[in-house]
Amino acid sequence: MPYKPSDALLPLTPVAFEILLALAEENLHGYAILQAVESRLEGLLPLRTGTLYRSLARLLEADLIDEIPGGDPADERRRRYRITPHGRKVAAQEAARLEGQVTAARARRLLPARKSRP
Amino acid sequence: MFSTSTLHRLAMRAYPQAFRVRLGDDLQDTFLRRVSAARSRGVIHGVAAVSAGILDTCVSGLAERAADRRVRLRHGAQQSPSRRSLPMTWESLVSDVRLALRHIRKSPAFAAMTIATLAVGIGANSAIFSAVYAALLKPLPYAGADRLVALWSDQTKLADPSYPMSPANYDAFKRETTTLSQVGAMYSFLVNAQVARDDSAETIQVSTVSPGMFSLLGRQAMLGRGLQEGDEHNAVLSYSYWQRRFDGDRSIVGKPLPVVGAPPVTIVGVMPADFTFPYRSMLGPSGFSRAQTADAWRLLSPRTDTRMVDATGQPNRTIHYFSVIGRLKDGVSIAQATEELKSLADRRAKAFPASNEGYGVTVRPLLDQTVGKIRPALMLLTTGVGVLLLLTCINIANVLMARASGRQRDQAVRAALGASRGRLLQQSLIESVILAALGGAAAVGVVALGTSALLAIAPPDLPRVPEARLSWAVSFFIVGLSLVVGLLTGILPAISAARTKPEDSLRDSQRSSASAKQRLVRSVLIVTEVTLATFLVIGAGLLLRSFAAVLNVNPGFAVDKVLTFQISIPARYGTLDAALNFYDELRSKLSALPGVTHVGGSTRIPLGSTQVSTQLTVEGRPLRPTELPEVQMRRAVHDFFGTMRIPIVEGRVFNDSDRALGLTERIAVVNAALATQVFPNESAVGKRVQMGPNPTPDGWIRIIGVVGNVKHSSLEETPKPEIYVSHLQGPPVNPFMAIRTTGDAAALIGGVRSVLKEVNLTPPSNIHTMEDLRRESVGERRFVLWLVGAFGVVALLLAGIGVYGVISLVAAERTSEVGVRLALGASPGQVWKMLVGQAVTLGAIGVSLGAVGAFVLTPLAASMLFGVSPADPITFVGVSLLLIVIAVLAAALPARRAMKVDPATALRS
Repeated sequence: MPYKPSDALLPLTPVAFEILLALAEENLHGYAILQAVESRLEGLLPLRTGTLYRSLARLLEADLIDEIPGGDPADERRRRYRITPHGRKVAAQEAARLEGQVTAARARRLLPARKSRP
Repeated sequence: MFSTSTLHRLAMRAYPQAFRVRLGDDLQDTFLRRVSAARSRGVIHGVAAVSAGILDTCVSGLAERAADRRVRLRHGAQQSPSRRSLPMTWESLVSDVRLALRHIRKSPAFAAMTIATLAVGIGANSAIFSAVYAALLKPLPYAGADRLVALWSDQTKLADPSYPMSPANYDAFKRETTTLSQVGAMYSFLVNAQVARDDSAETIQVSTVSPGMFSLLGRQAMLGRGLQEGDEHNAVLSYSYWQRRFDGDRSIVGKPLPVVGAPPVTIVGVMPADFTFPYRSMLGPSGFSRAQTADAWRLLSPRTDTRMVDATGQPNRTIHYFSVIGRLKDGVSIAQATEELKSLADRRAKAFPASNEGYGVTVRPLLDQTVGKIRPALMLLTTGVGVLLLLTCINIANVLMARASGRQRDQAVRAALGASRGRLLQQSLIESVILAALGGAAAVGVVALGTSALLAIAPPDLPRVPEARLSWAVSFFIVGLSLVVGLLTGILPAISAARTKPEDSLRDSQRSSASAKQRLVRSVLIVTEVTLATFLVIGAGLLLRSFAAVLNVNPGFAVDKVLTFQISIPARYGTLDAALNFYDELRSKLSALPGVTHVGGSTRIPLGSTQVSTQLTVEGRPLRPTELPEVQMRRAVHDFFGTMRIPIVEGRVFNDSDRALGLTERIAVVNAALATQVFPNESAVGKRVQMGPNPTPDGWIRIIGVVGNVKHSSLEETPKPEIYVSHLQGPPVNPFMAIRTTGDAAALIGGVRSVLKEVNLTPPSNIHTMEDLRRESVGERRFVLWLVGAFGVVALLLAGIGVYGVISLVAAERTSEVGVRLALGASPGQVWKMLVGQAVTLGAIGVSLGAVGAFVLTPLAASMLFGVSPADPITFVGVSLLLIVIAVLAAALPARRAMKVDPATALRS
């Protein structure tokens, strides 16, 4: 795989970013990623299986995630994915990029001023 | 039913293969989990999840495929190693075409041979197709030609379903039919007319048609107009006659056509170039001329043809001389029209039993009427040339397979580098399709040549075949056939190439020999070749035997050393004496030509003219007109029987002293067929007869002799009853003269022309030697035999080459085996026997299959055979032996080479 600087991959697609978010928390198999994303977004972004897997393929190709060798001990057909260090870096860069955008939006009063979480 | 899981797996085919390999199982698993989660919430949820999931997989799969292609286009060859090279993508096609062209360039000799062979194969097929298309497939040159039908009387007594119709029946059908929108009639024969040209005259062929005929055919004149009511003294010209005689003069309309001995005729129109009507095969068997097409059209009208009405002024019911054409109303089928007209004919038979009993009706598509007779011959040629093409394909497939096994290592490397099976298959097929396409391109030239050669050897009386051209339809045929041939020759080598496994590249392929499977395929190909060749050659053999049988037919007269020609006696010899004196003068001048021994003539010349029949009334046998025997009537001039050497069976024939009888005591000679049919168990000589159904008290004709039968219409016919009357009691105006000489008949042509000039006659028409006439009469048979015979010879050659090629391969592959055998003490003779034995075994299987095939199929071509059984043992055994001998000869050469192998070298290699 030819080397690509991490910022060349930005911006990530929302689905790719969600996958990285889910895998940043723990290693998951495909269906679990689906469940994690859906529960975090509470139905705001209905994730289709096909979209998920096309995204997974891109992330695998770009070396942002990889498969855990040996797979799932419970079911060898299932593969488990983990985020690579490179993926973690790219996800952080994407988060920073988004944060910059959000800050800019606040400055223009598109969002209310930051409140502390309840 | 499919399970959800299977359906989803199918849907996943939308993804590129590489994607499926990597993520397919996981995707499937996630889909199933999702579905089972949805099902737990209820059936509706479950069904929705299944259908949405499957649809989603399809859509995403296709999207992924498109994205995949974009990526590959951008990165060219930089592919991940896991993505195997796949077929049916644009890039793969382009690169395979390049590779194929490189292969072709690398072995130009092989490519040239293959392309040339294919060009001949495809070209020959397309040339035959051009004839088949022109004759059988192309619509007739009339508007809405598929709605046109030919109508005939179905004459049950003569078992002739295509008997010309009487004016009365034509009139009744035209008036009463509700299934035909238009009905038209014409004379069922062409009429000769003499047209003055410079100081002599030429004979043209005139078709006499009813007023509405051109509009019934939906065609209009190119210049002027067609014929209508009241055009009794007008004529319409054909395009070719207009070109030939008037050099395409566009101001011709309104000018006179100088017909000799007839009231002045005015030209009112010229028909277009593609308008041929009638085709000869649309006409009946009678008439003088065997000409194929009409030069001009005149009007059929009771005002100029008094025979159309009888003594009471009603349409004539007893003379049958019309060919009738009708147009089906829209939505009416032939069966409906037939049913209606049959009931009309039945009603008329009941109303007029004396004239109409036994006269039904036949309705036939006009195209069938025109080309139905030559359809079997054309289908036979198509089959023959098709078998030839199959043989060509098999031989080329064989060579391609041998080359493919030479490239096995190459293929294995490609497979190891990631070429998928489909890709290997595609590459191999593309090569054969390119070869076939180049062959097809070259075939265009072959078709042009082939079609003109075909027309050159085709007898001119094959309807429509002379219209064969390199048309659009033929071009499409060439393209289609090339593609089929490319796939046909490529498929076997391609499959064997696609079977190559990557690990084969690692093996030492120097010693590779054909696998058992490949050997089996080759054997099957050889057996197929021998089968096809046997089949074709048996067909050719049967045709050859038929042709020989036809030529052996005794026509009933001596064919050699006779010259015949048709003359036209001018109207100035109108009285009996003047005409007879003229005939005497003509005889003495013709007899004076060097070598001439006999001079005779007749109104009908055997094998050279048509027939005309009449009814015969026998004295003392009162019969209804429909029960009277139908006989062929002709006039004999001078020593006709002596000239033709027609033997006298009983009594005597005419001689000069009969002139003394005048017209008071009429005499006739009949042939043996008439004598046995009309006078069985008694002598015909001395009996008195009259022509026609209404005898008059002083019209009786006494039979003075019986002569042998002659074959009149064709050598294959059963002679019909014939009656001859003497020219002394009715000199004909348009007879065929015949002169017998001691030398070469053709050498007399110049002398005859000058004699006719001396006696102030127009130049002779239809001048032929009797031998030419016999040759022409078997023209169609000779044509078909020539072609099928040539196909047969080429088939033998191809089968021989095929056997030779395969046994050579086998011998080469078994070299080391042969070396071992020889080293272990086998004699070279045993090696020879082994290889030749293999060829003979395969040959024998092929021969048996081919013979069985021929046995089953030749009865279909029975109409093409004459005097030989479709299961003729001589042909079957002879051809089978011939094929076996060819197999032995073809195998002998490579076997001899193998026999001389040096065991030491063979073992080392």
